[in-house]
Amino acid sequence: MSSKRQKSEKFRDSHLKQKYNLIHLLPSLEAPALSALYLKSFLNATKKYELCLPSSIVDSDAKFCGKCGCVRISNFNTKMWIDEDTADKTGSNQRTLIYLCLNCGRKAKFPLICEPQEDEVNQQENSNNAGFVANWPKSVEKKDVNKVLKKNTAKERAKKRKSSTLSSMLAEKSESQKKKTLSSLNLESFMEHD
Amino acid sequence: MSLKAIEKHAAQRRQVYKPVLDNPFTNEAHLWPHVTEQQFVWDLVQATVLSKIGNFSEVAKDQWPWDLSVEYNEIVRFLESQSAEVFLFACNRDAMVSSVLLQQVPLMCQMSECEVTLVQLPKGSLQVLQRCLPAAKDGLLMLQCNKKLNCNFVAQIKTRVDKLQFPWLDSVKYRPTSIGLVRTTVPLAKGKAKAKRSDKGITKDKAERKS
Repeated sequence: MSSKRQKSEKFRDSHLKQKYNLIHLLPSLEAPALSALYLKSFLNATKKYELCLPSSIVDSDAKFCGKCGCVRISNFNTKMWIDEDTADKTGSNQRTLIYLCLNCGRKAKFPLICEPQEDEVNQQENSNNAGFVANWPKSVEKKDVNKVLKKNTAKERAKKRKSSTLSSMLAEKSESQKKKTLSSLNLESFMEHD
Repeated sequence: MSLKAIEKHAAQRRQVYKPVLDNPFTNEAHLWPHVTEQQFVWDLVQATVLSKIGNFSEVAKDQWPWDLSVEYNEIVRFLESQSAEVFLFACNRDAMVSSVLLQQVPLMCQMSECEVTLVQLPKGSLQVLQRCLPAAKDGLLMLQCNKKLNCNFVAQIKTRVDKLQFPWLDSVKYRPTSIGLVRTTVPLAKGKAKAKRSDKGITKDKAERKS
C-alpha cells in the first residue's frame, strides 16, 4: 500500500517538476506566447493534487506576468522602476514599484510601505530599555478585527431566533409595562398628572 | 490554549509543497547566495563604509570616497547599462523590504553584464543602513569595486560569498533579446507609398507580404 503511495507521489513530483521547468525554459526558446498555457497547466496540476505553493510563486503579478503568464526576468522581458508620488492626500510620499512586461505591455503596480509601523518602533524602543515596561497586549487589536469579520455567529443567530417568537415578545412588553408602573412615582409623572 | 485555537493555528501554517523549490534547474531554494560568516561580513561593511558615511551627509555625492548608490532606480539603471565590478548588499531578511522587489534582485544581478557579488545582510541590518543612509529605503546598497575601495576589503568579502547559479537563465543571458519594442512613426497620408518604401523597418516587411 505504502509503496503504491510512494510511487504516486514520485510521479506527481516529476510531473510537476517537468511542468515548472517548461515554464522557465520558454524564455530561452523565444516562445513567450506559450507561457500562459504552460503556467495555467502547472497551476491546474497543483490544484488537482491539492498542494500549497509558496507565496513567492502564487502571488499574482509577482513572479509571472498577470496577463501573458511569462516568467519575469529583469533586463530581458521586464522593466522595473519605482515611482514616487509626493502629491498624496496625507502629505507623505507614496512609493510604488512598477513592473512593465515587455511581451504584453502590462504594468503591474505594488505599493511599497514607506515608514516603519508604529508597533515595530515601539517594540524596538522597548527592547532597548532595560527596565520593565507594562504594555497592553498587542494582539487585542487583531482579535477585534476578527470579531468584526465574524459578526454573525451561530450563537447570536440562535439568540435572535428565540427572541423573535410571539410569547417572548409578549413577555418583554409586559415587563416594560411593569417598569412603567413602578417608575410612576417620578417627579415628571407627578407634573404630568397635575 | 484551547483545542480549537490549536487547530486554527495549524490551519494557518499549512505545509508548503517542497519539490518545486528543491528543483536544481530553477534553483529557487538558493535564490540568494550563501554567505559564510555573515556576521563578520556585516561588521566589515559597517566598519569600513557605514561608520564613515554618516559624516558625509553634507558633502556632494560625487566627492564621496567611494562610488555607491542606494536608490533602486539608480541601481537598476546601472546594472542594465554598465559593465563593471560591483557589490550589491541587500537586507533581504527584514520584513520592511517588499518581497516582490527582492524576488527580482538575484535575477537582475544574474542578467546584468556587471560582475555582481550579491551579499545578503543579516536580520536587523536595514535599521542600521537607514540610520547611516536615510535614502536607502529599499534596503539595497551598491558599491563599485574600483580603485577607491580597499582591495583587502574586496577580497575578504568575495571569498565569503558564493556565486549566483541559475541554470535556466544561462541560455537566456547569452542571447540577444528578441522583443522588438521599437517606437516608429507612420505617415498619415495614404497615397505616399513611395516615401514609405524608403524606410527600412516595418515598411519592408509589408512589401514582402504583398509580394
